[in-house]
Amino acid sequence: MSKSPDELLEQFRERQHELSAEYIRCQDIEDAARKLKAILVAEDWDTVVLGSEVPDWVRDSCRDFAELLADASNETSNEEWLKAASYARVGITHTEALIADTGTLVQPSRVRGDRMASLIPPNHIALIFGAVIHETLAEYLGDADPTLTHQFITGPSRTADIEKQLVVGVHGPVRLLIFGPD
Amino acid sequence: MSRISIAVNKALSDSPLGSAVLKSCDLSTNKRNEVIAELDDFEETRKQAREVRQFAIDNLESLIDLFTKNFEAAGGKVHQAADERDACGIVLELLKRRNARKGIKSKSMVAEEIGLGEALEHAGIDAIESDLGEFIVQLAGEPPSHITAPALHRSRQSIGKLLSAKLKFPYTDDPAKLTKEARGHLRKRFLTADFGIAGANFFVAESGHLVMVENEGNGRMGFTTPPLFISITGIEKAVGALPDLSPMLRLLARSSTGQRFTTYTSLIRPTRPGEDGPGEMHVILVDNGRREAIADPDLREMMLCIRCGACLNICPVYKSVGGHAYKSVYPGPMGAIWSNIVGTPTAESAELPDLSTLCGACKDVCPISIDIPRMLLELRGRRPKGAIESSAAATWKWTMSSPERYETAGKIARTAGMLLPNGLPGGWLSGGGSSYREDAPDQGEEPANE
Ligand code: SF4
Repeated sequence: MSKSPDELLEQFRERQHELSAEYIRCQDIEDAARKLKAILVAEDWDTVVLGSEVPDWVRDSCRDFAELLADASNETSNEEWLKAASYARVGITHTEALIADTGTLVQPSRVRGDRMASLIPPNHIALIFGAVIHETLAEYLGDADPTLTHQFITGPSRTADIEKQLVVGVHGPVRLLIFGPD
Repeated sequence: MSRISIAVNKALSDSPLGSAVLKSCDLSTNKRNEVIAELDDFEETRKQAREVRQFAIDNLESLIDLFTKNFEAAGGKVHQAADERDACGIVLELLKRRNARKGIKSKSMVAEEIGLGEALEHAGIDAIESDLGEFIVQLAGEPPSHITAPALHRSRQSIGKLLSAKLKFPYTDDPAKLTKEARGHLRKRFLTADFGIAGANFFVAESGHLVMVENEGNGRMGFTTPPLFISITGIEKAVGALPDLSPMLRLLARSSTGQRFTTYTSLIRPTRPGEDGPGEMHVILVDNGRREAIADPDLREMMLCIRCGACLNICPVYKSVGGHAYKSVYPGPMGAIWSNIVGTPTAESAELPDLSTLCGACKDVCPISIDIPRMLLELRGRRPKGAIESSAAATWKWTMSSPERYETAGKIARTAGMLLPNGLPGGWLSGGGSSYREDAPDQGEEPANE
């Protein structure tokens, strides 16, 4: 029997813990905005870049605490984006789909900034409100847009190249925070 | 003694090496077993994965054509390279055209196979390895010793000494601190590189995607920050359509590192207007002996391999001698065959099939159920009778030198159901056996080279 969306979300959440990612449970958008502000302040993440389709409440939450260095919703050159992303403390991105059994975020690259925002800053915040949740990869691949570059993200970057000891944070983000429903 | 025998004997007498490799391999195998056990449809998925691979090999030329058409329609360029020289030549030409001198490389076994590192160095092009393990072995001036864990043979103390001396920071052997230092060093390069070069795990004919599976993010960096991106992979890495990736990706990470999914799996298409990413994207599909192997009914099955490394991790010989003893880019059970397929097989590669106890553990662990022992025997049988026995003899010495190993090898062989009545798996010393049970030595027989 296939799982209900709630069960799938629960499975997705469980995986995040195993993957050393942090799942931030949010009651609603106001709660999410409050928690986002609190984290930006507490961590001193004062420079931000945004991927495409990030909602306005994120911009509003950032406004008083952090400088918005690049926003995929606005036209910016590649060079400027690269500079902004490498300077920013955090990248915030929208998530199109989730894969529950592996705990994976699916973020296709649509416009300039969609590759850099989730990769280059040391911290990544992924918003999963409204993301379609699939049980397995097979379900997603069944109707993935064949014309896009698809990025599957499963936890923060990691390596075990030194004596098989897990180290979190290599070339990609050191921390991955997922803002999603409670 | 041949170079292989010397290397094997050296590895056997170097016990810290043996224990480092053994520990790492066992860890990987245990993790693999845990996440495979979670799949209640493992055998079914494995069957599907094999079918996907078989379909690809059976229809390879049309899949390559279709991929080329789709990748190029999206603005990329596909090149076919007949051999190592050809492949390196294409890369150098592409770099020359853009006057690209500084680059960043992500892990690619095919790049190792074609000797790209040396070719670039020779041409005065500075290409830094960015996968942490590859970066370590590049700094040490060594080849990688495992197809998925290049620095597996090194202790963290030796890595600490190496990195602190080369990158000039105070000595530490803490993996987290060492990783941070390497990250900082490589980050600068990523942001200023003229080009990125990486391997690909698959290419998808119907959609024109390259598939890259990695954990560190260096692969993603390579197709995000530099203006030019070159992907190098073997012609056999085709799959038909996107849904075919599902069984492959479900098994690849689980078999390779014991993860359910790697941190980053990317399905890459040439950059669209208005997107970030390289303005120029090329794929080089390397033959280098693969078509010949496909035409060879006895070795064709090896082309199904997805290079997960599980057969290395479980192999009692690999675990004891480590990757460098094989004197080949591709070590372990898959490497003993692959090294006789790609490039120009040598007298040394002809010896590699002897570095096996034929216990069958590789076939059992393989996500594609590739019958490695059958092909090892096939390759042994192709040599002139009695031609080379030295490395087989070294294997023999290795097994007999430790009661524990003898016992372990015996256990594995018993599980595989191929033990001889006298307690030894057959074929260990054969210079050209045709079945698992031929040419078995008596227990007290001296190794041939002593
Ligand atoms: S032969 Fe099988 S187990 Fe070995 S690397 Fe290839 S796919 Fe993996």
